[in-house]
Parts: sequence; structure tokens; C-alpha cells
Amino acid sequence: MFDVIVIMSIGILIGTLIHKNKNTIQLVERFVTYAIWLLLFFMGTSIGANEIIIKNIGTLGLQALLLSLSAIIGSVFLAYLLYRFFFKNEK
Amino acid sequence: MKSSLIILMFFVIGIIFGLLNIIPLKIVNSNISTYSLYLLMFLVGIGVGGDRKTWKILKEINIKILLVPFIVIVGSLLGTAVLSLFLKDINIKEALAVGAGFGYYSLSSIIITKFHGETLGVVALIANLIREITTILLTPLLAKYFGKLAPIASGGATSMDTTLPIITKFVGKEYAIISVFSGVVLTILVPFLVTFIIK
Repeated sequence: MFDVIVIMSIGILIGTLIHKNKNTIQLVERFVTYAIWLLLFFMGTSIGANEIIIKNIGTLGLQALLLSLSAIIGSVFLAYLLYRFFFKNEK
Repeated sequence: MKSSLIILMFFVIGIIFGLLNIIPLKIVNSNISTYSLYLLMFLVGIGVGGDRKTWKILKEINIKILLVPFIVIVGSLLGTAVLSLFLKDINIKEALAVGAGFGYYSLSSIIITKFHGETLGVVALIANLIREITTILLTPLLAKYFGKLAPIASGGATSMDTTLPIITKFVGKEYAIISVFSGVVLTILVPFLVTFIIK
């Protein structure tokens, strides 16, 4: 865990230092996009070959739907309170 | 939206390859995948640090705006934690890790696959994708019944890009800046939080 945090923090620091160099940043961002494509492609190949996942995709999808909705409901509920008590009567 | 479709296309093509048993590289349990994940996170870091949006937004910070991403974090984690009590296959730690994706499905599912396993990685990918799609579909209703911060909260990390246009349309331009701010903060936090929870 520590390694990931350190690596990303170094990245952010370098990004901050070179943020005026737009071309480099753009290049990095394009590279990130390609890397994500590649990683998700490889993720797909091992998921497609994973019989347990393919067999249970319905159950997994349902779990995903429930997790997603519970996260949305939780944050929308708090957002409603925050809006009502701190934002609404402004302006 | 277009970029999401391309990402998904790669994922689906990958699944088809896998179903046909054409597997060029196993992402789980290989050193290559660990190093490529490290490289990815390093580059994501540079992108975040170098983003002009991040810098502009820092000038807009006040306590109230800071509360928005904060309640999204608390709300998402609370919601998934409560749900995990009712799911027999998913424990609280796993539920929290999925919830901490805040809609950033690509990176969160990659991290979860690497550090926990493919099955939960798939759940994270689908769950966070659903979060993005649901936000796009429900923004008009959320804005009407739960206030202008509701669609921003629902969008999570996506409220800075993929769901920003629809959110701005329904909550107004003055809330667009809050939407971008919340999305930026959450996007930065996703890799940290997910890794922290799952590892």
C-alpha cells in the first residue's frame, strides 16, 4: 500500500513541477489512456477465461448494482442534508 | 462518454479473447502487471499534478465546498458498509473498496483486481460503471427532489468530466465549479483510498 501512495505522490509532485510544460502533460495523459486500454484489455482476457466469473456473472452483476445504488443513496442523502442546511439559502 | 465507450470496448474485446482462450498475458500474479500498475499510477499522478483544472480549483476552495467531496466519501462508504451486512458473499472491506471507486471504474477495478482478485475487480468495474450511467440518467430527478448537490454527489469522481455536462445543465453554471472541484478531489483520492482499504 505504501509503495502505491509514494509512487503516486512522486508523480503528483513531478506533475506540479512541470505543469507549465503542456506538451509533456498532454503526452503523459495520452499515455495513461493507452495504459488503461491495455490493462483493461488484459483484465478482460483473464476474466473471459475465468469460468467461475463467467458462470456467476449474473450474481456479480446484481452485487455490483446493489453496491452502486447503496453508494449513490448514501451520498445523495448526505448531499441533500448539506444542501438544505448549508447551501440553499445563499445568494 | 466516448472515452468510456472505447475503454469498455477494449474490456469487452478482452473478454471475448479470454472466452476463446487467447490469453496473451495474465494480469494477476505477474510482475509485469505490478510494474505496469505502478507506472500507470505514477503517470496518473503526473497528470493530476499537471492539470490546470487542479490549480484553478485550488483558488476556489472554502470550507463549504470542501464538504461536498467529504460527504460523497462518507456517504458512499456508509452506504456500501450498511449493504455489506446484508450480502453474504461480500464482506465490509470488499464493499468499502468497491464504494471507494466513486465511479472511477477503470482505475479502481484495476487496483482491486491486482491487490484482491479478479472477481471483486469485475464487481468494482460494473458497480462503478453503473454509478456513472445512473448519474447520467437520474440527474434531472436528483436535482429536482434532493437539491443541487445531489447529482454531484451521485457522480462522485465522474462529476469533473463524463457527468459534468448533464450536471451543469440541471444544477446551473454556479454549481459547475463545485462539481469539478468535488470530482477532482475524489479522482485524486480513489487510488489512495481503494489501495488503503483493500491491501
